[in-house]
Amino acid sequence: MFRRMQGDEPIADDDHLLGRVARGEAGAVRACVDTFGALVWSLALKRTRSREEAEDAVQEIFLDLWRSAGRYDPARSSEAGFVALIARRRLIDLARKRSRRPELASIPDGVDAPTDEHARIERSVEARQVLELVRELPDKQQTVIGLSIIEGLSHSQIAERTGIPLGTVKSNIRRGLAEVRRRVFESPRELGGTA
Amino acid sequence: MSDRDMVRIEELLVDRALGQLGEDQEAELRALLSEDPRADSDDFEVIAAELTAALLAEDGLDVMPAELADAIVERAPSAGAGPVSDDLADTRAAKAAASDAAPAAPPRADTWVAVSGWIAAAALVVWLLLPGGRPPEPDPEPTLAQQRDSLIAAEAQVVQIPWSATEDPAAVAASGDVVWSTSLQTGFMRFAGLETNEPTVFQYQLWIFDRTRDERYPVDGGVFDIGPEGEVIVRIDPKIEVRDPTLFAITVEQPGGVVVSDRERIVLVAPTE
Repeated sequence: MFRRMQGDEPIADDDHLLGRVARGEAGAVRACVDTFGALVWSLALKRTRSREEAEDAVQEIFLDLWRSAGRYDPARSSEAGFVALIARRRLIDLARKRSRRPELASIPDGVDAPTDEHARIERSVEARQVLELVRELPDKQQTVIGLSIIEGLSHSQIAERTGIPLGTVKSNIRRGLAEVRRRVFESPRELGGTA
Repeated sequence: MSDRDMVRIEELLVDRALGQLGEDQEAELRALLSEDPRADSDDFEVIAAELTAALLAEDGLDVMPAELADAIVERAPSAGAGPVSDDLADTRAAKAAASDAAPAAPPRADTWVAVSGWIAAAALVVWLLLPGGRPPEPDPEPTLAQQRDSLIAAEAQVVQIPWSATEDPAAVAASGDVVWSTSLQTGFMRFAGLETNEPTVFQYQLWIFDRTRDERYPVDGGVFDIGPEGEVIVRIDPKIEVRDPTLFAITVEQPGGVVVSDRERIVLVAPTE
């Protein structure tokens, strides 16, 4: 199911792995590393210049994750998505620092807490379904979104690698993600929901 | 707000989620959102994260080296599965010994090397106990107080600002100062009279407000503890670059610190202007 609907299994499920980490339960940290280590490690390898740099980045990411675990909201995203969100933030920060480009303002921490329960329920996102939606986009949009999200390439780098004009790269990424967002967050019935 | 503005906000939110937002665009987004804060959203960031997880899983994940996984588990703060961070333990021990302290720094990748070094350390102890085995005493490391003095003496651009206590009970008798060098990206905090903390209950955390950043998200300067000794000196080691600091602030946070403070308990501030 794409979204969790009212009447389904409890939304406030405190038994998830990140919740156990936040509570300091024995074994939870190890389980979390075992479960999400490969995800974080794989992303770090793609977004850093060396294995050593990736090792440093992964440790910083997990440090961030321990601090943020208590803010994970299962009604807003999957656990893997939350871990990927924390990892992306750290890797984006590291890339900025590395490049010595003017550093950007930090991305807001934590997934926004919705203002009411109904909104919170309807905004849950699952990785698999997002991927399915992206697969429905035009090929060119899929390509540039993939290069941006996974490889962390700038718009200019994507233009250089693909031969697609810079302006088209930007518009394809924006239009593609805007379409996914619209279908995820604004059209609950479109994806087979039963609310 | 016009439709054109809404479209532009969406463009900028996409760029922000992908880490492609430059300073000019950041300022533009801030200005647009000031007209309608409800337009701010992390939807794109959530989507990008979920897509990241899905695409990586589809492509096949690389297995994290076991030594790295072990090191992460061992250094996890306040986790029931592992010991408290060595950095924190070291900090406490150092303070008890020398009335100096260092904040908890991000763990290093070579942590497991240190772990395996236990064996070598044990062998060294045995060797030291043997007749004639003790090597010459090395020069002692300068204390944090000495390092602080050196920074002040050597760095022309260093700033030194006294702490101003808030009305928080922890800061009633607190005093001290901040010494900071932007060019060297390091500095020291000095405290006297700040309430002693129990690290398993709460910790102090430094935040550095940077003029070039969104003031909602100051730079995390790390967590530290205050023991029962007198004056305490803590090194400042921010996780990201601080370009133009405007304010140093100390908050009370949960053990291990937080990524974004709710600023419920601000105990000390030191404005640079």
